[in-house]
Amino acid sequence: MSTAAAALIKTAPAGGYLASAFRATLLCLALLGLDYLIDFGFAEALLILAACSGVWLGGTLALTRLRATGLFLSHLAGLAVLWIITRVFLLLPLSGVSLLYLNHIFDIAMMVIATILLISAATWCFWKIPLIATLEVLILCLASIQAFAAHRNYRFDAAKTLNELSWKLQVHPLVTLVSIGLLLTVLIGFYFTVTSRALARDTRVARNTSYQASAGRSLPSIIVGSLLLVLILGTSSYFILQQNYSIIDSRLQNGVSDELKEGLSPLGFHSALGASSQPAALVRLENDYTGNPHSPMLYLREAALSAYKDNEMVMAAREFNPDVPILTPGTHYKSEGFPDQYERTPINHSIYLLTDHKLAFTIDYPLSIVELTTPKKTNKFKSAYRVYSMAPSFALPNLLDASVGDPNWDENTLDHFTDQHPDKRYRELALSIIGGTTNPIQQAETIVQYLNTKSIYTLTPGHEVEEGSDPTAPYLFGDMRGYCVHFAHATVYLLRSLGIPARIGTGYLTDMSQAKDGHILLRMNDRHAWAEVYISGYGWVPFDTQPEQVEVHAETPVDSTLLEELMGLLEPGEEIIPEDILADEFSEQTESSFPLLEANDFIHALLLTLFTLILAKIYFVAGWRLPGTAQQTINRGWTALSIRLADLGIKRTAGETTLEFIARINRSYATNPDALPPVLLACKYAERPSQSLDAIRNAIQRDFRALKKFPAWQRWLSFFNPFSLFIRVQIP
Amino acid sequence: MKYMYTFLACLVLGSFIPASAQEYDPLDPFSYRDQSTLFETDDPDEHKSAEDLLREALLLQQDEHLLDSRTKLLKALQKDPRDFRIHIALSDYYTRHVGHFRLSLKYGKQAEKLFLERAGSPPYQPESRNDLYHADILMLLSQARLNLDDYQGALNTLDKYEQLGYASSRLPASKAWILMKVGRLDEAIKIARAGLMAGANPGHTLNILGILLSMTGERQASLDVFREALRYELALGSYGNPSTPLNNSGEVYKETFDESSAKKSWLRAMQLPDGCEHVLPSLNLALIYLDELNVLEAKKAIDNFESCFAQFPLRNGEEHKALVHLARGRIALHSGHIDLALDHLEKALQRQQWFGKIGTNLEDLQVAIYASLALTLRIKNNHLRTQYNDSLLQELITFKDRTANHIRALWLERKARQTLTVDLEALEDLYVRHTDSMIEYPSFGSLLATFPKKVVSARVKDFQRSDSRGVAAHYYNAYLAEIELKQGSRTTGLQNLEKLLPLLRTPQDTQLRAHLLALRLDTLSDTDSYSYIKTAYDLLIINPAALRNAGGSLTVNYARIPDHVVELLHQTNLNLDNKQKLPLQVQYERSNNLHSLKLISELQSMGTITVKASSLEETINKFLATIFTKNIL
Repeated sequence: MSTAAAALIKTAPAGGYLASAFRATLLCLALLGLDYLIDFGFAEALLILAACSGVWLGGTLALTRLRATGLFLSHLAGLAVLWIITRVFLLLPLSGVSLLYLNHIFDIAMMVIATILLISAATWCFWKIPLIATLEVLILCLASIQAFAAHRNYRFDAAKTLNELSWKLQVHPLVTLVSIGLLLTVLIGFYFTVTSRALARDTRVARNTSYQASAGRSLPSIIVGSLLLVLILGTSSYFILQQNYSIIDSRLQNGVSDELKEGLSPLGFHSALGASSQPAALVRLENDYTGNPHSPMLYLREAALSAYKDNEMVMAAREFNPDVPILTPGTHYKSEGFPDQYERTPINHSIYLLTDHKLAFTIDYPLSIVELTTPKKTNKFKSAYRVYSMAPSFALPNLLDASVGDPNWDENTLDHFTDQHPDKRYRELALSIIGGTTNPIQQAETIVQYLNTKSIYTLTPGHEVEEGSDPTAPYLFGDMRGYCVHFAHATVYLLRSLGIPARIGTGYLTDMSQAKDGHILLRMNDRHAWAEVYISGYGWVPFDTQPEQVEVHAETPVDSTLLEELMGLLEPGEEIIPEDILADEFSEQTESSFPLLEANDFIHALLLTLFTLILAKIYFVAGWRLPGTAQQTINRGWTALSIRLADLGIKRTAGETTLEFIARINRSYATNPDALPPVLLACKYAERPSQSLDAIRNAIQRDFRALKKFPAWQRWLSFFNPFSLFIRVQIP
Repeated sequence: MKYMYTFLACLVLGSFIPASAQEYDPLDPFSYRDQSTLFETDDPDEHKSAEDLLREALLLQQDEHLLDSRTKLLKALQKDPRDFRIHIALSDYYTRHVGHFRLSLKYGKQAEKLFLERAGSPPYQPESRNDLYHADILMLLSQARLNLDDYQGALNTLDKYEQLGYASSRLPASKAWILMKVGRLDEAIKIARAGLMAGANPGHTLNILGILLSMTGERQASLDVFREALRYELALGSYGNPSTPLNNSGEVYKETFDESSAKKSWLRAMQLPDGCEHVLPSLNLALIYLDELNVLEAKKAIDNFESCFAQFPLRNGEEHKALVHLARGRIALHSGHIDLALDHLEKALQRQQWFGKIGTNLEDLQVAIYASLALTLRIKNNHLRTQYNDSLLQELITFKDRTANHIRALWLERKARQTLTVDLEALEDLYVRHTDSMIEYPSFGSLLATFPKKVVSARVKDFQRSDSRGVAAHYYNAYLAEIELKQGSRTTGLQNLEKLLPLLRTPQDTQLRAHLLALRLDTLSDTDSYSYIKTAYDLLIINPAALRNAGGSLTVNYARIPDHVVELLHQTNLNLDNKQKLPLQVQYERSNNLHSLKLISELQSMGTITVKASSLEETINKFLATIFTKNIL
């Protein structure tokens, strides 16, 4: 790695250091990202090495007279030779096990070499063909579009990484998406400017390649331009999101928003395409609930829509639905009384909200709600509350003998819950469905069964609904395609047309079979709306349509790792069990799998870079001691001396000759590295060095000794300055 | 056995809690009848001591009121966070009832810390009962670590347990199991045998001894040990856990190619009350049915398991979902439902699997999934190749899909090769029907043939030499024949294959037979030749899905089909030919804007098939799907 980095710095087309380093970094990141997705099966360090070596090789080859055909043939030959070598080695008389391991090593070697050759070919093309830089940017754009294509429809969970990243950073997925978009835009812009600048300024590239030198932009202007771009894009994104946030949020919530006001509906008929598996809340049952009549499904209600207004069900005045306290999550609540209802069981449950909710939701029928202290170990929980409910525990078949409606209701209330849709087709359809059935519960069951059979579940019904017209009709009297909002409305209208008191319940519907130890992880796509019928003595009972035909499977498995992680965060507090109790255990992965970089990672990366640069520096400073010709030794010696002088703060200024430079050193620092310059100058005017190799080495050594006039501490400390590597060494 | 542990745990913990008067009925902690009480005090446990709450929790656990019990324990913890017994109870709860081992370890470690603060360092005086507490804590810590796949940590804990002189009837079995997991088989056998002589729990110890003996090749001895274990477990009545030795003996029978006895063992295990506490008997049964290509029975085994497992209220089955998806994926694959198979296998890749309690490990499962998924992708390409496309765009999409599938299959095979070489000790799974392996052995040759011939042949021959099981030799020969066919001499490979086919058993080796027939079909280029048509019909009779999966074409007679439809059908894997009389005939009809294709069959294994649809493309694709799939949905 160090050698590769050093070589990269040294041999990339001059003036293209920044562009080369930038490309190498980008390629490293791309390869690491790819490795995360498909796992190359070998160490990441090898990938980084392959990327850097590829950039170096490509850059070096670009400075030669090699043409495209030559490049292709040389690369092909390289691969062929490697392949032949592997096959030859496999002919050795080794045991089956040894051959197997050898084959494995060759497999990795082939992969690494193929990566190097591929990147070097791309780099060669980059320096030789102006169009390639544009093409690379285009590929970057296409890859980004492909990676985030699913999010055009707000499906943030489609690409798991984005959802995980948002969850880990505790930001809205939309913010993550926009931030990544901004980053990519800036990256692409930066890439364009930096490379064009590098290409334009480099005379060697211009000489050996097809680029023509032209004025490039300065680095500060690139940075200022990039920041300006971020500012403009960020601000515009913010305003666009602000304006459309409620629409986006409603889509995210499966078409069932929690924006509730009297006389308005929180339900959306247009689309539920944004429904994602982003975690919404963690529910913990505090005691056994064995009598759940809907088992394994569990309904958690947050609101009830019982008034009919403008072709949809809306929230009625609170006195109509006293069983549903419309509360914000932090509010304390105590029921004023519990109606006389059969077969209910007390259930204590705690709800830990993972995203902001405007309304508290509970298992039917809440008697008291108290706020809980939000677990402090993490910032994942927004707030928490505990509910004491009387939950249903009746058997559904028992309901057949009951009647609908509450005998204690006054006429006004009964009218409210049986207020019908003016469209007569609902009653006609209801009557045709129920046939001769007279029992209202059976009638309700028949209607739900009918809808179950005929409906098709889709997130995008795509009905054309004009302003002020009935959005349920295109579903029920049309293609029967819809989602929970359509089903719930249709059920309520059909039931009410038969005089059965019905309303819509909104909240969450979850599958208890995915729960663990009574802990249920609710996701955004668990948000639901369902029809309810009031049954005398039992209260409001869900009559929910679950279509047999589905266009899209909304159900996704619960992330059990996350569920376990959250369970571990609930209790007990730090005062009961110290958080670091498992610190000395094995390094087990506790959080979701996205490898987000931590602060330590940056420090490690910085240290690693520093270490690499110092290694490179050792190579350049001591390189003249390596075997080589006299000319090579002179050049290496001058490079080493220049770097050490730069370490001590002495640099050649623009237009200064070597002799002037040496004289300035002598004047200013009372030290005179005077042995090497004459050799260098002599060299410049002779075909080959007139002095022997030993004499040249002695001259270099003498000049290095001259530097000892500087204090030892200054010489030692300055050696660790990595920036002196980047001075422009001009061989006189 | 589960109830016995609960009972014992309650006994150990409960015996140390002094009795006191009870203010509430512990079995019904929320039994509010009077509404005024309900609103006056929301928590009836508010005035109870931690001690009372702990006792009530243990009683509730015994009575299977698990969430009530957990709540009581957490309340007790709030009241007295320094009572190590509550931490012990919670650790035990999360290990036994929930399977959240990280939480269990957390409570266990805190219990140990508090206990050591209170009781000081060991050793303890026997009359203080501290030794019992400490032993209990160490056993829980070891269990949790084992289940978190920290085998060395679990072993160190048990070593500490032993060094302190604590005795437990479960110790030898637990230690032998962990030693087996870290590969120290001889030591494990010694410990299990010594444990049996010293009166260790016979159920657990005999089971682990049987497994160890089977791993070291002493299969008869292992079966004897399992029989003894079974007798012991049955003698325990409702506390016994007889399905474990039955499952283990089934695995030994499977390894010895005695499929009939293996099936009997697993079927019996599944019928016992504890039969669906674990996935293994059902999974093993399903996999052996798949070797016979009996997909319906295989599906039934997995369906039965899942419906039976639903009885455990607190477990969501996460621990076995990867294995279940793997089995379902293979069932779908062999019944021709390739998209469903891909779906299940992708899910199997994503699911986590717990390995602490089963012999197999992560790498075994990964290799099995990689191999099955790669095979399925190749089969998907065979389907796409023979699918009828009615437009250029559709052709292009199909081409893109096929390329993507091909690249992914190559990549998965490479990963499988890497895991087999590095993580699974130089292809140890090549030992046919290796107990820990989840590989589908009949089709394993496809993966092996992706290694260089010299490398893999040498390894197969190594195993062939050291394996004395007669039937296993057929599998090794099949692998060598496939490698020869794909990388060496086609003639030699074919000759070896022909020699092998008559030796295979029916129905036990049906899948291997189908695989070899598919290979033979692949070598025959002339689809009109007699040998091709015969092989295709042989394959069709064994399993219609296998013919299409192999990418083979089926020659049939035809009647009343217009030329343009004949042309379209020729693009699929149906080869219409009236030169000779064949047992299958295709007919076409068009009425009321509906296209109708009919297959008239004289084969016993296949009835007449009729498919109707509004477009010709849909009709042809539906027709092919109906012929070449088995209905398992």
